[in-house]
Amino acid sequence: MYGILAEGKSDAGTLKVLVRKLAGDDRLPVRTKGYGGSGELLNKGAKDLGTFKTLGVTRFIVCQDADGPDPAPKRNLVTQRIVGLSGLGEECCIVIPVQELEAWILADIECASKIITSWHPEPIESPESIVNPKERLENLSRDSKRKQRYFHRTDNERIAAHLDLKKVAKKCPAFQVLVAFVKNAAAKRRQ
Amino acid sequence: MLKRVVIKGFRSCHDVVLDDLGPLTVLVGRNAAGKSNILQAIFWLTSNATSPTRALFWADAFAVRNVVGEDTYDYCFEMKVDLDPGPSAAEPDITETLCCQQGDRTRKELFTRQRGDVTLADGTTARIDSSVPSMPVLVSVLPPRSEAVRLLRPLLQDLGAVQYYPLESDVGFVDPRDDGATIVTQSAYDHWLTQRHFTHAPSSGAPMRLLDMNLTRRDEFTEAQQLLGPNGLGLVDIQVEEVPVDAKSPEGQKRFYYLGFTPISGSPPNPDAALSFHELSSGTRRVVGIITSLIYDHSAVMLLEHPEESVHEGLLWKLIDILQGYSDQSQVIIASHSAAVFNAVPPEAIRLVTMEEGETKVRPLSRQELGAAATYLKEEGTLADFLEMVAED
Repeated sequence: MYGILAEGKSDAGTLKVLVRKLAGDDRLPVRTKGYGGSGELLNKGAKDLGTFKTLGVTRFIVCQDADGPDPAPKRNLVTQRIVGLSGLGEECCIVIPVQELEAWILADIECASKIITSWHPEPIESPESIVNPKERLENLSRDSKRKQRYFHRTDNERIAAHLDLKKVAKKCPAFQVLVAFVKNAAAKRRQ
Repeated sequence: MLKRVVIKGFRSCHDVVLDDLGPLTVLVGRNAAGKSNILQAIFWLTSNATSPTRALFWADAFAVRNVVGEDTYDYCFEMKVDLDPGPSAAEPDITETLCCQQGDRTRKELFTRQRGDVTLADGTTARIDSSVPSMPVLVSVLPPRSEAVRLLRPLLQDLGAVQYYPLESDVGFVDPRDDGATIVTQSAYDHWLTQRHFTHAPSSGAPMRLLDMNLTRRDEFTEAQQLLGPNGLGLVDIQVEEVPVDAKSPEGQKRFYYLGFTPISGSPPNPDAALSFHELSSGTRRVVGIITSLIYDHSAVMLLEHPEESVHEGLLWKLIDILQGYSDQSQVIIASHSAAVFNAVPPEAIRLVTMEEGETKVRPLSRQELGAAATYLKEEGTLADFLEMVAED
């Protein structure tokens, strides 16, 4: 069973969809906890990983946005304040999307039209180079009357179900960490 | 968009200033601190200043800075009532001024008023009834193509589209004539249309708004359907259609409409499970009402009390995101006690409301507090936790 910690409910829900999609099992048991921001995640994450373990979780994912181009500082922070304190080892994966998790949505933005049918966005080649992907998605989704059609807390999970994950992994190296973790777990389970 | 509001002498608002307002503002404070008084003051004072049929007596003073497109307007109203008996007591001492700055141009005064005497920028004077506001009167009596009317009209339209949605949501979101049926007669709809224009208020319910959108503004109906439906908030599937009636029957000359709300449960929607609006849970009704009003009412400002009432935290989180997304078209000012609402907005949107010696006080987070909030959010906890520490009473 997977357990996912993320800084927001929307990120946690989106990761749940992605993990199931990567594992090829849409009934894979996944527990999630989304916080009210990165501070709360850092403060409560270690204890909540312990609770997940008690609840039978065997594979742990902690996700925090890099909020910049370099994931290293946030990775160190999550290692020190969450994973290190929890006593977990290899069974815990730290995922740090470059900029924000919405960069993964931007990587296959064309598929958003499957959820928001009136929106047909053009492909984006380097999503990780976009400084504020969430805001970019909101602005790109505005129609001719300037009405916003994309709302990340409502739409991310549903769009994630349609993402071409190979495309996302190709354009967003940060996503490959999650891919490797889930694929490894699936391979071990098969053995 | 309202940028600044000053309220003096309205209930507990003796001297309240809301400054640097952005597209979304959240009023935070304990019960009876005066949050609702602020929302009601903004609603009553803007509607009274813009309606030719309303009297002007509501507060000692009221000022707004409102931005319409690239133009910034400063409207000020002051009233002194002489409480001593005597001939002058009948006519209150009213002062009104309106200034406008078009883009980068110099700010200019559009009119001033002392009691019933109004003086326009070009020196023209007019006498108006001392009990009515100047702006709607000037727009109705001045030449339609005059500079003054050209500048006044957008402001009037904007301030006149400030809408208040109280917690007693029956006023805002539920039509008292909706008896729980899924069928609406043409006459009930016609009656609602008449009332809507007559009352100039969002006092009718979500079902009639949805019916009207379905009949007259299809794009907006689709928008509401999408936001509330399976690809949006995943709350309800809405069907509105005219009920076919045998033209030869006694009822044949009348029209009937079906309004069905099917809660989304994960399985494909079953039209047979459709409910009337009243049969929905109160939280679902509240969210359907807020979304319907957001799209239908075209409010310049939505004054919204406690959107969290009966609404699940996860849904509330998404609802606030949608309100934020629309807030460049409909500015939103929310009064709330919900940690989920606080955590869904940036610290700059917060206004702390306190009651001090019988007076409502409002302030944004100080520069120092904003800095501390940024660090706290990054490293320690949520904005709701932070605000608990900042609260002074």
